[in-house]
Amino acid sequence: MTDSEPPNSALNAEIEALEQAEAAAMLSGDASALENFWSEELVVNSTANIIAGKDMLLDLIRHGRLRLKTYQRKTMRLAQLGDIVVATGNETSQLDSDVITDFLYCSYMNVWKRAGGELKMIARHVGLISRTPQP
Amino acid sequence: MNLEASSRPILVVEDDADARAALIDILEFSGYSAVPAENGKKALEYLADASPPSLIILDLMMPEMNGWEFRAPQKKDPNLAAVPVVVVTAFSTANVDADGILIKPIDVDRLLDLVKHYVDAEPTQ
Repeated sequence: MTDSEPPNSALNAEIEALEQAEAAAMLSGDASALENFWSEELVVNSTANIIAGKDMLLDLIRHGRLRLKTYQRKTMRLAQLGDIVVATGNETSQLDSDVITDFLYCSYMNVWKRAGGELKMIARHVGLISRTPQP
Repeated sequence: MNLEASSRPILVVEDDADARAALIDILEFSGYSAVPAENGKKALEYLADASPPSLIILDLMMPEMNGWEFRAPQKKDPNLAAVPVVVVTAFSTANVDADGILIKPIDVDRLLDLVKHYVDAEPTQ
């Protein structure tokens, strides 16, 4: 097994920019941008304890079934393992929903893989830390 | 999207609001009609006034009336006894009397395979 190592500063900046750009695309519901950020093989394990792939997630976003009102991501640690980069930290979000109005505070882990010169997200896990009712 | 899915809804009994909303969204987006209930008691209240659903997706651990407690009256009701039930649980070793089991976290592909199996296969009403 190869030990992971902290990414160099250029890769660090690239990943942090990607992490923020992907979060911004989620917040704005920009499915075209997300399609570019995400690998065809993307697997996401969400706070709703549901595992979904790229096609289902994009369909839900395109049809307004998955929309965010607020979304902030703070990357706390990066690790590189060959072509794989793992980013982990915390996120706060609020769904744009009449049914679920709580603010969610979560831990997250995104896995990016370089393929053909581009970094694509291949996996993502989000775990609920706490939820706060909307005042 | 499955446009030929049964016209009878799928009843989703789940106390976690996030999971319930996500399951309803996924099922509706996949062409199925779906109705939410937040626990077994609410599900029985809904079923008392509604036609039998095509499928019941049932969480086990719920307040007020859990999945095991829901199953007893559901199986005794002649209108509901034949409705297939897919249980959703965090416990892979759960002692469950059900047609199918989904272990949390729920894989959407596996969920839709089970739904297709039980709902699409039923005769047209």
